[in-house]
Amino acid sequence: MKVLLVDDEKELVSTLAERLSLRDIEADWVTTGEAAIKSVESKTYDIAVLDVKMPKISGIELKKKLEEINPVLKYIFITGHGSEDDFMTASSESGAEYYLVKPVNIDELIRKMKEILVNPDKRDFFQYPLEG
Amino acid sequence: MDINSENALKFFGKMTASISHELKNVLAIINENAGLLEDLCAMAEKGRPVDPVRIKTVSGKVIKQVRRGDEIIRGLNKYAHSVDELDCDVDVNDILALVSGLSGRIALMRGISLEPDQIPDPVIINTNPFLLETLVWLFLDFAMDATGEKKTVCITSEKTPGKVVVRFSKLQGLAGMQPGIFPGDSEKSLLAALNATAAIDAAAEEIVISFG
Repeated sequence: MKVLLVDDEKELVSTLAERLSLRDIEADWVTTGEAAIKSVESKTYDIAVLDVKMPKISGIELKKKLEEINPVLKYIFITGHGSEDDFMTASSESGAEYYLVKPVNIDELIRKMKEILVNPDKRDFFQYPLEG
Repeated sequence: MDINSENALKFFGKMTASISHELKNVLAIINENAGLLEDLCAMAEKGRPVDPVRIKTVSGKVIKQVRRGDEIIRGLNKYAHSVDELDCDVDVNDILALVSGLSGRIALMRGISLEPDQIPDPVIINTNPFLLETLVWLFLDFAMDATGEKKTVCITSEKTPGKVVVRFSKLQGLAGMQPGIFPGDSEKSLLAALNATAAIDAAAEEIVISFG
């Protein structure tokens, strides 16, 4: 499984990538939408984990751009939304397959990564919040 | 609810939503680094040596985020206390620094750099601090839309005889904006309540609020 992590918080994605690599999951990380596009153009990933709110381009807009480059790429969104209303609004706007609310539980993230690859068409809006 | 109260409430909601997102990020980073420490401990328990420097680096990242969170909460606390008095002496520099700080993440999301230019001497006026913060935010919000390619808003205050001025400058995009759209009813109502006036100078790339 090859994963691309995209979040403007460098210390979040870099640490998450390190923790995934300790679990034998190949994870690259970038902090901008532009870097994410370059990464997906140059390498084949199975899953992109996108922050919803990023400078210049939202995770939702980025998903649309990445879909043009790699139509089979799957997505998990991570969000700092604090309320159920925020979460549901963002979910319905994005059409994303999976959501996790920060702070993310790594075991839950991995479970969702495996699930999305086994069952790519399932939509799972309400898997939150997670205990950190 | 009158228009000033409505705008103040919207401002409060906007700021607290932004702050809660930022605090979520702080918690998420602490969470990952605490998790990484657990991972390293688990590895050590299985006999795989862990470099103490690695532990120190990770704990240093946690400490950095605790400081970041503390700074955010201090700003939030200061903001919350700005409703304590409806009429008091305030340093305009403090208000500009507070609103700039609170708006930092919103600006970042819009790809805009805020440059509050602090002058050393206090610029004191007697006013309603919360309404002043709301007014500064509304002007800053508009200024961020008017940055053009510079993507920068410089915010300064000045004290001249009988007048205090707040200036939003480097607004390259002002010239291309439709005339008359700003200030709108919300800003005009707050300006009246605070006994202030506003002027837009597209050629100078600035918006100026004058008090007194």
